[in-house]
Amino acid sequence: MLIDQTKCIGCNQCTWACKATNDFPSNTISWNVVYEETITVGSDKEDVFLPRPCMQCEDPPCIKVCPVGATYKRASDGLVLIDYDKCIGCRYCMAACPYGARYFNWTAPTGANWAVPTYGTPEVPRRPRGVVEKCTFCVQRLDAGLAQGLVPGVDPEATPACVDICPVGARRFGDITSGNVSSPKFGNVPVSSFIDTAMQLKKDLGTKPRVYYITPGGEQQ
Amino acid sequence: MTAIREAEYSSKLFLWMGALSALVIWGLISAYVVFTQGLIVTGLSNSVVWGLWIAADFSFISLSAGAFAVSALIYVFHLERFRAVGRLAIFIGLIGYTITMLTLVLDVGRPDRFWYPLIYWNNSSVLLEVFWCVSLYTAVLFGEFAPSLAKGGRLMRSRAMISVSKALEWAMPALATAGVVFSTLHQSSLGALYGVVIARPLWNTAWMPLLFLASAVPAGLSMTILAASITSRFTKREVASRDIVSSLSKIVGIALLVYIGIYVWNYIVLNSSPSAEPLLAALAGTPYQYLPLVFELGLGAMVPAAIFLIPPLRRSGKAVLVGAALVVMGLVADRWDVTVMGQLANSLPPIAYVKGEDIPVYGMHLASYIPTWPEWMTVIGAVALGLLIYTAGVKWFNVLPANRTTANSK
Repeated sequence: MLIDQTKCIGCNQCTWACKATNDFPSNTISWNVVYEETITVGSDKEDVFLPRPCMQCEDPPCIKVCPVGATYKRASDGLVLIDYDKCIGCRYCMAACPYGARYFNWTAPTGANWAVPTYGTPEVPRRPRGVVEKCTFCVQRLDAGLAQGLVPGVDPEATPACVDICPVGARRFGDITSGNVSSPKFGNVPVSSFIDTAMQLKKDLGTKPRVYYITPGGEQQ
Repeated sequence: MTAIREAEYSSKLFLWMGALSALVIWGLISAYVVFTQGLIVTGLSNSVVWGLWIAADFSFISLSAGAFAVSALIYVFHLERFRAVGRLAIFIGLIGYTITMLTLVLDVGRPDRFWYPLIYWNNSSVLLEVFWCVSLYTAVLFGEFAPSLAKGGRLMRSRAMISVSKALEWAMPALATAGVVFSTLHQSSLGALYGVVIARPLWNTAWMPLLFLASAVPAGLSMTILAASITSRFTKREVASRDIVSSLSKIVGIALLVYIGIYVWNYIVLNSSPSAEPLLAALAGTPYQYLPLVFELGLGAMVPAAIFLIPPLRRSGKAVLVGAALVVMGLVADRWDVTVMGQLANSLPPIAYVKGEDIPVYGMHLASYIPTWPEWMTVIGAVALGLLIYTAGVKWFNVLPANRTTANSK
């Protein structure tokens, strides 16, 4: 996934689309968050937004710590997922995630989800009380779409909800080995245009995040 | 003992057991609240995921380290004179591990899946290793302790129990060695549990496992000293002779010196680490800036080290009692500080890199965590249960060796 901070306007629609699609009624859970910070670029002060899904790390620290292997990396595409039937709720993975991308079901997920139907409709069952959950890159869409021969990033049905809804094209999605990441509405961005300069969050930790950022600072690192 | 003193003693005992039972019942009610309403009743959050329960559990386990430390002295170093406190240390260990298990069941989000680590193994997880070591070691402790139960307890005195206990006694050196191995492994892997977390710079040091082991040894032995002294005082029976307490104290003193060395080194490492620096800076305005140094290092290690290493002080029963209590306090403070401090200060993902600078702009975030009543009462209930088992063991199951009374030894 590519996130362009120079385009993001902090409207939070990605957050609400995620909330509706992945159906978490609780306010203490949000698989996607948009952080806001004022930074100084030269002599200017500038508001920057940082949307934060799960980084879907290539080397995820959360997987190493899980005692029962409830959180795992899928062999086919390397997606980091959670087996909600196995998770014992020890929360070690939450302590181990450098990005704060994991959330615990402190209560049973009951009641209405206010983001439904304005921002989308639920596509996955709610998770029970006592287990950990996080962004899956909308795995249900990827799987169903690929089975129908659709292309994630190109066909909206096969693309994560946050990418589909973004009104400014700040998000692109796709298989990085295909040479392009894209958004159904805003089209392709060649991987070669950002791969050398893009920021990866807390890169120094060696987790190899698979979410790349184009930052407002210009050339990075 | 005259009849009057006997009566006075049992009425006091009755009050003590009654108060403890009340706390245990309060703890059970709180546990019921936690089970029915879920972890929402705790002060924990998505930022601070481990709190009072983990701090308490890790304290219980570390304070149980007397069991393996004394066993090591007896069976590995063949220092026979410490046999006198062997049973006591093992009994405390068994209680410590039991109440740890009970509290851990509360802490997991899915208590019904508490046993999953038995069948689902993720071999790279330190927590899996801790789970197995704690389970196996609890079994070893039980094996080590069973003979005393069979011998001492009137209820347990059956022919079958006696033959089982004879077999266990024969296996004791092997059991004790297995105990030392499991215990050393997981006392340090409790530290590794924190040490491996690269996401938390205040935890992520190579010294964490060693620190946990090095603090558990003096604290576990101090717990043994503390229990022996207090029990002697209340039962008017000498649980451990002055000589043994004095030589144990000396060992604690030396162990504390080792701990202080590692502690200071780790402190220097942390304070010179670029990734820990912004977190320590964020904590600077909070009491956590001083708490570790005052309670863990100063009162919890340096003062008692002085008490235990200065011979005239070491020979004073009261000074030793104070010293041992301080070490125990220091350990509990340490387990709390490590658990909570490491999570309070979070560096959110770097918001952006600024042109021309290598350092990302981090969003710093200071979370808060205040344990709630259900958390406090379950922990207090667990401690009360431990004291209840201890008192019952001393009073009715005769777990302590039948020593001479103080009156006789004077």
